[in-house]
Amino acid sequence: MPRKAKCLDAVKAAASLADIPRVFTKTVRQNAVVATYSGQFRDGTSSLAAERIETANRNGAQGMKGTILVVDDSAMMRKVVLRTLKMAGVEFDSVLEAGDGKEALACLRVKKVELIMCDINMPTMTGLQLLQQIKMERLADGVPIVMVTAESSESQVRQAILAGARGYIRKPFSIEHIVNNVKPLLTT
Amino acid sequence: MYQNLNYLQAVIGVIIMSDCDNTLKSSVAEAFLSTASIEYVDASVREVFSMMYGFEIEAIQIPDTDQSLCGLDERTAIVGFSGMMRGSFQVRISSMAARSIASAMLGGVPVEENGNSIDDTMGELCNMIAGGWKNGIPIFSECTLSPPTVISGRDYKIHIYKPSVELSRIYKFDGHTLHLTLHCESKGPPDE
Repeated sequence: MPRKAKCLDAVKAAASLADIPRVFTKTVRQNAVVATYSGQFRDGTSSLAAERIETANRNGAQGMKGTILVVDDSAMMRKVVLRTLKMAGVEFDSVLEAGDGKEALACLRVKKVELIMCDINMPTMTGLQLLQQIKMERLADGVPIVMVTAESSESQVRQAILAGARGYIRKPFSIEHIVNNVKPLLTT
Repeated sequence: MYQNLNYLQAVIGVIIMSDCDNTLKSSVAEAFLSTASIEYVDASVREVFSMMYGFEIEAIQIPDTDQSLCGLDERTAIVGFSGMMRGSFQVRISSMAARSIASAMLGGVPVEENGNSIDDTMGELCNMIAGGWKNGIPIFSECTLSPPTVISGRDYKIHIYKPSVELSRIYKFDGHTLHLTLHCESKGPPDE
């Protein structure tokens, strides 16, 4: 084993004995620091989730083939969804973004996708209307659709599930929510 | 006479419904102003700020005379409620604070001072806090939220045409101040 790798193993072993949760090697990536320490300053379950995600990433449990479609009228929220998916170890070959249901339909009519993450409250066409249209036109048979929304009343959740959603994440959400609600859908 | 009786029944029906409507609105207004409602607002604010931005935030009290933020450099986001409760939910912070939140939302990436990202962030902030609050209160959970509206500056006035009750909260985070104002319709239109 090369000397540098032996040295690193020794450092990590010593860190573990000293209860140091993480050792970074240079060049340190911002995402790695944020993923580990954003959880450390909240509650214990979040930091545990961050550790689990790091382990998953080290084991190479990411990199999905195909395309993801993210539908939200907020461009910022679309970026946050994609970023959180990446931090949870879920990355796709390509990404499509849509600002409302109509744009999403236009995307789906020309490109097959492997996952849809969709808001409910959007102008022009809501998320629920989009789901109904997707079902009617058979644009995403077998594709997991996960609603990501601030609306989580019982009736909204019921309507979304009846319309074909297979997951429901309430905003605000954490990496753990993605791990628990999205990743299982991608392995089935 | 038959027609007059029907007319009388219709008028009585409207009066009874109006009274029921006012009674219901009074109950809604009471729930709106309850301690539980305030606790849910605070909890929703803390949840959004910790989970999405990584900020600690706490409710504070400051005098009415000292409630300006940063002169004209303010952003206000508003969402409306409809259903069992009708009203609005407003969040007001300085543009600098909004920019700080937008950057935190993207993991520390710098954000342009006057970019669309800041308005977008404001809208989502208001949307998430409002959603978290109303979903925590059973009689409000089935109310629907409107898409958010964002206003820049503070040279505006919001007119509430129907009688309503107001709930205001002020918070401090990372050296910035956040103002929350909620309005809820409290009774039907006044008699003419």
